[in-house]
Amino acid sequence: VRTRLLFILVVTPLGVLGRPLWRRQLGLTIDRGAETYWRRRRDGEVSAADLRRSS
Amino acid sequence: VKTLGISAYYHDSAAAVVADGLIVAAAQEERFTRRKHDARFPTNAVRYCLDAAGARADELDAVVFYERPDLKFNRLATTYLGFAPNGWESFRHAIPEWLGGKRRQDRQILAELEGIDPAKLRFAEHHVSHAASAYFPSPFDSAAVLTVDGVGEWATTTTAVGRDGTLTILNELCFPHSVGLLYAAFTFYTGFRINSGEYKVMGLAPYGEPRFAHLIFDHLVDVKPDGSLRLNQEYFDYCTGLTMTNDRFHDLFGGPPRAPETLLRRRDMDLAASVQAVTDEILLRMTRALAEETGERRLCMAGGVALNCVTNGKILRDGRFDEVWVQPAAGDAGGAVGAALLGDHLIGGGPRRRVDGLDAMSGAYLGPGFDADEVERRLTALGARYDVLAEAEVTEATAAALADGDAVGWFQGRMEFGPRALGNRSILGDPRSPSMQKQLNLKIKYRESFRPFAPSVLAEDVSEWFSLEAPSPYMLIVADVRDHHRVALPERYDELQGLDRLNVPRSTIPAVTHVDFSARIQTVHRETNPRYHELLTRFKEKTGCGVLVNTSFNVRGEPIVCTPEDAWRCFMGTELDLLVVGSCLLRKRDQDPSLAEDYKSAFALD
Repeated sequence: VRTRLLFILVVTPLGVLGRPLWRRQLGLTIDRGAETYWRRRRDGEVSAADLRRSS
Repeated sequence: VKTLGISAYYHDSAAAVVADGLIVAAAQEERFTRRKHDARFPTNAVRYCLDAAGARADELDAVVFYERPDLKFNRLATTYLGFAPNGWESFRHAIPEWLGGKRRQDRQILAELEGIDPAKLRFAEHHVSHAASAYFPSPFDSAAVLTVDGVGEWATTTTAVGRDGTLTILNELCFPHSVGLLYAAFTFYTGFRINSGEYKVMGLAPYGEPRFAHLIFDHLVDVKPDGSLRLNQEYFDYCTGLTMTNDRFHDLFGGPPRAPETLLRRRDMDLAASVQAVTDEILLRMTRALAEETGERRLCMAGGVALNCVTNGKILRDGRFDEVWVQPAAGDAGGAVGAALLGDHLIGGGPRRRVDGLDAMSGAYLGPGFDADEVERRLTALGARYDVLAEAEVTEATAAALADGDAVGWFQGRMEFGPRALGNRSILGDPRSPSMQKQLNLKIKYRESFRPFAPSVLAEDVSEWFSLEAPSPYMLIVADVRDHHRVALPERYDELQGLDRLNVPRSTIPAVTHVDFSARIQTVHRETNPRYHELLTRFKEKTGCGVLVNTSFNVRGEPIVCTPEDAWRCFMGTELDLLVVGSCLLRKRDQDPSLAEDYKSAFALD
């Protein structure tokens, strides 16, 4: 029941209200005119700082 | 400096230990628990790795988990938000588990590894672990790196460059856009299990024609010239449901998914050929763009899609890279090696080390091994009847049996790490025999008749038999059998369809020649496996053929054998003629048949 309430009362309204944001983040639009879909990573060399301490 | 790497909680859990830059041990949990693709915490694999390294858990300098649960949860949450109000079915299955503690995997791991200082536990990104497993153990000082799989946290594909022992991530594609998930969708649609049946789709593809490829490009995936892509989510179910494809997908390809274990139709073969052709095209575009961007002439690969050896062969032959090295445990199990190497290099300052000027994987022979006394003790306890042979006699007697047409279980040295058996936990046969493929598939492996077998070939003979000039020690490159070893096909061969072509001999080594004349090649090197190399040499002396059929030592649904006991059970439960464990030779006719167990139904079909 708690899971259902979470879905109905939190996820669905937040999802509907923020739909453009979420869909942009997921890249849900096929853009035939775009040159590339690659996302550039600009964090440089992998270092010890990339190994996080907590999950 | 000793670092433990762990992959777990999705599929193919594994552990690996790296000490001062050297990969000491690595193993998958399934081999110990005898449960295929076991996803539970790899308790047994960790224990084995620590024993092999001579370390206790509290003596480790670092423990690195192969992915970041926080990012994975972020991806799940964003996906549910992006598709709400759809997605309830998936949400109700996934979210309680995450809210119930899965997100705090640090606590779970610390509970499993008693005595570990919490400050020593670290988490690497999934694709960074894959990239590390591809570049650090490779034989190259500098190389482009490509990792491709279904999905890690967000990333599904990553490009990187490794130079002078450092790794820099360049670009990524993110969920839900994924070559691995596209391939998995067709694996599901053609009636196979995802995360294990992809290999069957690849094996089925040569029976079909890629007549659906244009539909895939027109409707399912938009691929740019640089290989980057987006999947049209209107055709897929995996973001919101519990399956891979939806009704719109089924309408596009003319019907519902094939039910598992039902008859394979021409359409299924054509679908397999189509998704394979699309995958080839995408990966070729990616690797061409990566070569141009980095200027590198060498390529390292990892991630589950890098196990697609048909595509790997095409990348090699494309010529954009002079050399291609693929991590032998390219799937998630290999993430444990990458995570351990990251910890060793980045936290412990360990060097990159290669063994004997080769790569750092020691031929992938990183699992448990058993000395001669231990083997004899275990076989005696099982009631086995065996002869103990001298070193030279082992290969001589085995080569003679193989030349006589026997199917041989070959158990030697340390177990392989990764999904392929590479001559230490293998079933071997004579590739010249026209009946060997059928015999092995139906009487020993109990698996689908269409599935091809792979050849092991003396490294020095590879270009005599196959159109391949490069080493392929991990069976991850497909190339064609040379023209002069092919035989004339019968008249009206072109009229045969699909599986009807299976039984037509196509070469002088028919048991390892697929219907399109291709073969998934393992080159055997004296430096990494001298006894297996010696066996091939002896077989060549007897037959003129330095090639053997090499398939994993297991039956369908069973993890590859790990111990002499596992090998004995498989030997007794199938129609294997001979078992060679170290220097002990066991003939089936000498054994007490009452010791055989019901083996055929002992494992759930994969």
